[in-house]
Amino acid sequence: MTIMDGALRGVVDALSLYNLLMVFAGCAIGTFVGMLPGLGPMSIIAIMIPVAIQIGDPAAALIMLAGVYYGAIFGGSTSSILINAPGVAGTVASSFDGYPMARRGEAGKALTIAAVCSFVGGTAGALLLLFFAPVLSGVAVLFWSAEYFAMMVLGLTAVAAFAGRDKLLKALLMAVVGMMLATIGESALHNAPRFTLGVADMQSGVHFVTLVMGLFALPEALFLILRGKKGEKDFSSSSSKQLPVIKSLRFSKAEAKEMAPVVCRQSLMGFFIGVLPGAGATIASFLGYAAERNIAPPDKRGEFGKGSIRGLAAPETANNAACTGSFVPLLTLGIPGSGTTAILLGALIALNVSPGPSMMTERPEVFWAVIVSMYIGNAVLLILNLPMIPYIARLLSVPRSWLVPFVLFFALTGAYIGQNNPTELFVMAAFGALALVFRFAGYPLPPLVIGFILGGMMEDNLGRAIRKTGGLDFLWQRPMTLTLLIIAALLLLLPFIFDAMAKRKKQAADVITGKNN
Amino acid sequence: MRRFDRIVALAMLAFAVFYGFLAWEYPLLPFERLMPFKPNTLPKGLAVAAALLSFAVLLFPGGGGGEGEAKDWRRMDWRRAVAVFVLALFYAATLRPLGFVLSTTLFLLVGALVLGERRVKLLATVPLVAALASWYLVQEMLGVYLSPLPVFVR
Repeated sequence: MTIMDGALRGVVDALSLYNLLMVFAGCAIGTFVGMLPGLGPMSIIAIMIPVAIQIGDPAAALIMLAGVYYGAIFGGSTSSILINAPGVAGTVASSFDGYPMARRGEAGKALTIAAVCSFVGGTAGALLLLFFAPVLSGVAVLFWSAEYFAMMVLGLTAVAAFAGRDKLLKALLMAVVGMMLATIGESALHNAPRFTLGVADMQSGVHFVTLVMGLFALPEALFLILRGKKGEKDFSSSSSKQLPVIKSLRFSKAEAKEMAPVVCRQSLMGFFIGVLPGAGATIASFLGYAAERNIAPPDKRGEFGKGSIRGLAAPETANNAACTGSFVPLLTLGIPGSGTTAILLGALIALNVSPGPSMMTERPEVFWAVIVSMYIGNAVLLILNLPMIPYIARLLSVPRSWLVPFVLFFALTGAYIGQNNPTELFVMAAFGALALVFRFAGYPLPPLVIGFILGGMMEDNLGRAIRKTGGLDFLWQRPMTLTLLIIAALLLLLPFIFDAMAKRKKQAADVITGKNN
Repeated sequence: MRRFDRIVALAMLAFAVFYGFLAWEYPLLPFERLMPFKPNTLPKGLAVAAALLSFAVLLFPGGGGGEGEAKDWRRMDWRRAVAVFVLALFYAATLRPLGFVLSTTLFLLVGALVLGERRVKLLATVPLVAALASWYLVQEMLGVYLSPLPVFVR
């Protein structure tokens, strides 16, 4: 099937009334929940997984979850711009210039810029995905279990490397702990249960939805309470500050002209950053912001941080393009590049779909419908959000006294209905308490989820490779495996290289400042 | 929070040792002992990796500490957070005996009360409507059976 045939098939599938409803529902839910400060896309997608599983049709379910992902990123921008409280980490950079714009009475314009840039970034990303995904799938068909194993090692080390030098060891440890959790219960290779300590409920292992709800949704809800001031009597007051008045939603032609090159650059840059395992919308938005500030003309550079249009357009374009880019390794290699795509992968596995190079040929209806639905999702976001912005913004005044119990309720019900077993809720609570401890101690949680998701697949591929060669010789005898493992090892050095570069830059800046003084 | 990093690393080291002990003690079947890749091959490797990494974190915890919130953890509202956490456990324990509708209504009502909601009209309507609506959505639309009534009424 050529790209054109596939795209046509995707258009037909994605434009079915059912799938269109799924895109619409996903975008609406994502926008609403993403806007609520403190709830990231991982929590929202985790909460939606039981619904996706009940939908049954993998294409429709993934289309809905992808819509939730996009919607959450856009919803996060709304709270960043209006109340300087980013709903998601990927939109923190949007608040640098979006919030100052809102404060000077241009909230409507800032939200329109965010909506348009998100649309362009997401659509450009979807176009690039349409061409890159089949090409990468074609290469990945040549992969054997040894290469898959090496690719997964690469994915895990990349996720750890992007956590930064300070958290590198902790991120690696979390990835290993995730893999250890994946070994509980029966594995694909071995039928006998392992590490169950004789507990019958542990025979089937740790359930993905329970783990994700416990690690993300539960601590997010508890953090919403913890962040409230101690002794605060009236907790029922709005979670938001005073909302700015939204006047005109329009921006001028001159402003559009100023944004155009930024949007083009950041669509490309954001997409390719999103493709890298470990990097995602957050890194793309910060790098996009920094890059545009560095290349802006001196008179425009001074506007950054004070309500610059370029400063808002860059992260908004980059984060949406990166969201789309992160689907490339997921759909073509079956390897998640971020915590969010790891959760999406978990949902796909629960729906009996194994993403990877063969997905394009074995499940073309899912592969192409998801890609095409991304265009539609971006259009829906624009149609849904632009006229609705003033009304959507009012949702920011949901009181925490209701928000927290409802978030907890959705998380608990989600974990319960998956297995219909109340024990899952206690397991989820235990993971929630652990996640709180990890967050306070600065241990990143996304590597744990990725380790958990990849753990079973890594054991499966490593086992097959060892059985085929009779030992570990395949690690150095197969050039592609060796290359991937060398790249993985080099990636671990990346945080140290970045750190050294930043230090050198700071020293150079200090020398210049010293000379000037 | 740096000390806390290390305490967590120490706990992880203990977990790795315990996991490693279980991995090495795993009862292999006679035919499995001859296999090049045994059921405990990867777990053994993971136990060693986790032990080494947690030991490394213990020695070099790195900067960064916890999240932004962690810095002023003493000023956080722990009383309410613990109360809501216990409420979640209570919800888990009562979901079957009290049935979905009653336990959910109680959970939402008490949760909102603990967090400071005092508007009687809202407290009287929102939890019950939400519980009934979600029961209908889950059971009728998603097709997952949830017993709505308490054990003593069924």
